[in-house]
Amino acid sequence: MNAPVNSQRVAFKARVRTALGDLNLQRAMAKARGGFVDKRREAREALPEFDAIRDAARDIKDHVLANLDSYLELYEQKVRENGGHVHWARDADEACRIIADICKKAGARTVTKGKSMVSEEMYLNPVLEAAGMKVVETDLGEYIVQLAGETPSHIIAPAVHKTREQITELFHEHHSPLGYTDRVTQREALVNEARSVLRDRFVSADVGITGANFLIAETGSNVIVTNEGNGDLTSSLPKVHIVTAGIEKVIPSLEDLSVLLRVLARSATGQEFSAYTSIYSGPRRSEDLEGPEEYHVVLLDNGRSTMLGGVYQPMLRCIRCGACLNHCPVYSAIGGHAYGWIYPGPMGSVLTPLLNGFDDSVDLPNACTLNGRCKEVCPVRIPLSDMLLEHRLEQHQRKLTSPVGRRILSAWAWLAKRPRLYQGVMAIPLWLAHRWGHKAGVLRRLPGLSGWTDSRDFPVPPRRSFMRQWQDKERT
Amino acid sequence: MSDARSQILATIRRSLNGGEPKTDQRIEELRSRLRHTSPKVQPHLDDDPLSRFCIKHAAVHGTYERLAFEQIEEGVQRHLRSVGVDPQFCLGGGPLLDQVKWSDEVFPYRRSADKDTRVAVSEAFAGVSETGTLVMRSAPSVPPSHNFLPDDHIVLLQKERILRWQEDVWTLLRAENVFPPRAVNFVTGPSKTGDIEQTIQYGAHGPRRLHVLIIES
Repeated sequence: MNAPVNSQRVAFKARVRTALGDLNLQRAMAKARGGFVDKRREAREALPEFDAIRDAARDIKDHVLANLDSYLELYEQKVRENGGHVHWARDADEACRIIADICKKAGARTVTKGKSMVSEEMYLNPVLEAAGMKVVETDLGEYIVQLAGETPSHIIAPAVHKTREQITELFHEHHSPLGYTDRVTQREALVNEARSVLRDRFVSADVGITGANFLIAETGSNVIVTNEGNGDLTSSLPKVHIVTAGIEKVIPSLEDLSVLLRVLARSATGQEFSAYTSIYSGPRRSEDLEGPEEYHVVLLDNGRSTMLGGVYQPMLRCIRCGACLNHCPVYSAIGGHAYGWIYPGPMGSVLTPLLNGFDDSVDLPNACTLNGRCKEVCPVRIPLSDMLLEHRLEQHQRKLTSPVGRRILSAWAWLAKRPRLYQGVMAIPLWLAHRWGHKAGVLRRLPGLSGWTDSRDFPVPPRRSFMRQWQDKERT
Repeated sequence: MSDARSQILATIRRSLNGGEPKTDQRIEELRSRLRHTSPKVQPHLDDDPLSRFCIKHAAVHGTYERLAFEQIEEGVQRHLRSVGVDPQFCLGGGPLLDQVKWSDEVFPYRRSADKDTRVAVSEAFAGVSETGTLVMRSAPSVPPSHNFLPDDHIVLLQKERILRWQEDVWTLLRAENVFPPRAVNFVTGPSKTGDIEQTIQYGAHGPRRLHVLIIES
C-alpha cells in the first residue's frame, strides 16, 4: 500500500506544479473564472423558492436511496414494458463488455456519443476502438477534448481548459484532411465547422450512446439535459440507442423530475432551463417514421452500492451539476486534470477515493482549504467539505498520511490538551513572528514553510494571543 | 447478466438494511407513491401565462408572432422571407397543422428531417410559461428529427395549450392514449453551446433560430 500512495503523492504534486505553470491552462481558467458563479447567483436570486426546492430535491434523492433496490426494480419493469432492455454491470469492465457486445451485434462501424461521465468512468472509448469501431464524441466540448487525446477537465464544460487558439489548431489539424483547409479563429466559425463535420457523423452512426441525467421509475425513461441538441440526435438517429447510467440516477416520478430540473440548470450554468430537456422511453413505436429499433440501458454499480447506509451515502445524491467545481478556489487554480481522474473538484475529491480507493487519490481530500463553498452551493445539499474531513480522518487512522505529519499532529494534540502549557509554548512563535513582520505588515518567508510562502504571504499575528488579550481585558 | 443483477441488488440490500428485501407492503407503498404523485415545491407564478411565455421565450433568443389560424401560412412565409430561405419545409402534424390548407406558393413535405433539411414546421403539444418552453411530444407525424436538424424551426402553439408550470405538462401527457410516448422534447430557445471560452454561441447542432407562431383564434 505504501509504494503506490507515495508515488501517487509525488504524481499529484507534480501535476499541480505543471498546472500552475501551464500558461494556456491559466489563461483559459482565468477567462472562465467567475462566469458560472455570477450566473448561478443571478438565477438563484431570481427564484425566491430556490432553497426550498433544494430541500425538496435532497429529500427526493434521500427517499430513493433508502429504497434504491425497489426503485431499480420498478424502473426495470417499466423499461421492459416500453420494449427496452436493462443490463446490470458490477464494474467498468463488465459495462464495457456489455456495450461492446451490443455494438458488435448491431454490426456497428460508427458510434456517436452524447456526453456521458459514466462512460468516461468505464473507459469505454478505447474498448470500442479496439473492437474496430470509430467512436465520435458529439458534445462540442467532449469533441475538442477527444481531438486533443485528453479527458474532460470539467464535468459539464469538458474543454474549459482550452483556449480558442488551441481549438483553432486542433480543428485545423483534424479537419484539413476532410477539406476544411482554412484556419478558422472566430468562435462562430469554429462552432459552424464542428457542426458541419459532426452532421455527417450523426447521420452515418449505427449506434448512439448517451448518459442519463435521470432515470424515471414511473415511466421507464431516461432524461438528458443539453444545450446543443447533440444528445438528442444521438438518441434518435442511429438504429440502436444505448443509455449508460449509475444506479443512483433513478428517481420516482415526473413530478420529482420537475423539482430536480429546477435546481440542475440554475446550479450548473445559471440558466432557468437548458435548451433541451428530453425524456426517452424505449425504442421506436410501430408507426413511427424514425427512432432507434433497439433501446438498451446499462446500469453501472462500480462501488456505489457499498456507499449506501454509511457516512458517504449523501454523495450518491449528486446530480453532476458542477457547481462545487465552479466555486472551488483549488479547482479554479489547478483545473480538472490535476485531480488525476475524471471527477475533479470537491465532488471528485470525495467520490474518487470511494470508487477507486486511496491508492491513487490519497492527496485529493487534503487539496482543500475547507472554505465550505462547495457545501453551500450544492443543489442537493451534500456536505462535501465534511466528507473531505471524514476522508482525512480515515487516512490518519489508517496511517496513510506522512509519518512526520502524523507525529507533528500527535505532538500538537498532546499540547492542545494542556491549555496552560499550550499558551506558554505558543507565545514564543507568536512573539517571534510579530517581531519579525510587524514593520512590513506581512510575512513573506517562514523558516521551513517555503512551500507555503512561495506563493502566499502570511498575515502578521498580534503580539499577544487572543487568550492573553481576553485575560487582560477581564482584569481591567 | 442476471448474476450481476442479483449481486448488485443484494449489495444494496446489505448496505441499507442488513440484506432484507423490501416487504410486499413497502413495495406497494412505493407503487402507490408513483400512482398518486403530485407537485412538490413550485415557484410562485401569478402572471398571465401567455405574456409570461412570450417574455421568457424572447429571453432565450426565441422569436414569436401572435396570429389567427387563417394567417399561419402568411406567418411561415414571413419568417422564411426574413431569413432569405425558399418556402419548402418538412411538415409535422397536430390538431392545428393538419387543418392548414397550404397554397401552391409553398412546398411542404411530410418526412423525417435529414442533414440538409433547412426548415421544419411543427406543432407543439404544449407550452410552459414558467420557462418559455415548448413541449414536443413524438408521434408518427411528429418526428423528433424536426426539432433538432433544421436551421430554422417554426413551431405552432395554441394559446390555450400554454400551461403555467412544468408539472401541468405531466397531467396532460398522462391523459393521452399513448403514455409514455417514445420522446418528449422540452425545447427552450435555439440550440447553443458555451464550450468555446464559456461564451454562448447559437446554432451548435440544432436549429439556429426558433420561431413560434402563437395561434389565438
